[in-house]
Amino acid sequence: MYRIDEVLPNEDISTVEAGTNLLITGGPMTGKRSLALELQAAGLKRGEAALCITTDSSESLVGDLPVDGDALSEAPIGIVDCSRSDSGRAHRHVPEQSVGSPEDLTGISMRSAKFREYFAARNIEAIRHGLYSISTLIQYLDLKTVFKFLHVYTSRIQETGAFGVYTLDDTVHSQEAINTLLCEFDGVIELRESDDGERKLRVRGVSDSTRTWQSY
Amino acid sequence: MTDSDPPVVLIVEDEPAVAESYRIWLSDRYEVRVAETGEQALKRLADTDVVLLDRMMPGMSGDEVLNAIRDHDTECRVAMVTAINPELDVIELGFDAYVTKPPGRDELRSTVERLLKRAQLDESLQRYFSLAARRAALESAYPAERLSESDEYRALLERIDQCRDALDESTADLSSDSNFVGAVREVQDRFEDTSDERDRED
Repeated sequence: MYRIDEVLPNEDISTVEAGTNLLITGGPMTGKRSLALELQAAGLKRGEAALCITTDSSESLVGDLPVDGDALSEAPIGIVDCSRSDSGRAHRHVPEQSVGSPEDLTGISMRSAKFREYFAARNIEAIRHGLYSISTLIQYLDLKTVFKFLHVYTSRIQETGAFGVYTLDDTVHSQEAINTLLCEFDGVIELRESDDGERKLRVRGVSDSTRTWQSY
Repeated sequence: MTDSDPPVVLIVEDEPAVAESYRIWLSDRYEVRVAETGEQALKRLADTDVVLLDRMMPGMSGDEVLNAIRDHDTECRVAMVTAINPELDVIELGFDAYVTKPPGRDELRSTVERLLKRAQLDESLQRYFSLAARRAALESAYPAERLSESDEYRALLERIDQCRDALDESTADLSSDSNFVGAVREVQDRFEDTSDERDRED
């Protein structure tokens, strides 16, 4: 069981079962990645690990992690950078592995397995995985291939009792494509910005979720 | 491989006595071929479904044979038979599975079975994707109330459930690193094969 009580505005959703996969959707600048990183970081103070797979530079990802500098050096974090940028490591104390391109799904899965071994060697079994982002993977590959990859990845999360969060920009894909992908996930957190600039959030598919839009 | 022919397993092992015991363990279910060197193995590769490759051989090493097999454009899955046991390193080299030496009968048989099942994985995923896409199309086109009354939609949901169960069968235990990476490799190989075809068509 993974505690997420301080992250979502809906206090009813305080935990998710081990093996849960959540999709976070929303347009650009709605805070998908920040929310997902918060869900991951919430485990760090409980001694859980955070494994981030990023198609953007790892530097911007680490910058967005809601963990301050000192804690960052100690925290069990692993980054898989598949951004094609060779800017080097984002943080000298955060272990990072790079994969040449988002197309290299096999490389991504190997690095993910390596980090699981690395955490296990430190007696950490609970891992919160974050994948940023599904939209970019689809750009490099295609919907069908990414769907298949997600099937394997979410099953891995399930079978290892981990927790996975994934971001998807829902303004660049058809509703049909999004609905197709949805069947790989246990639940979805939708984000949007209302006309007056307020950020709203709605959770579907997770137990006790309310299906109504809430501010956050 | 057709449904009536047994799958073909190629044993690459320089010690005849060892190769013979593998052959005895496997020959009731599979057509078994034996090669004593890497060079021989490459000549006997046609129609092979699973290769059991000894890592330490005189002449071409197991790693070299693996690379040559990959260059051959064949569909076979390759398990390394090795005395050392660094699972992820073996997987990084591009092997689909590994067996620690000396393997027991059951371990050898279950490894072959697992790799044969994995060969079906991409096809099952392909089917699952088509069904999920069909469902998404129906759900975008019709309101939920209408769909709940549709026999076609209900039948589709049933097929999706069945397909999911079949998939769980062929992915085996994904908490194992080699099964996990191997499964992703199947997906990626298919993507690369189809984009090669697209390139040729262009």
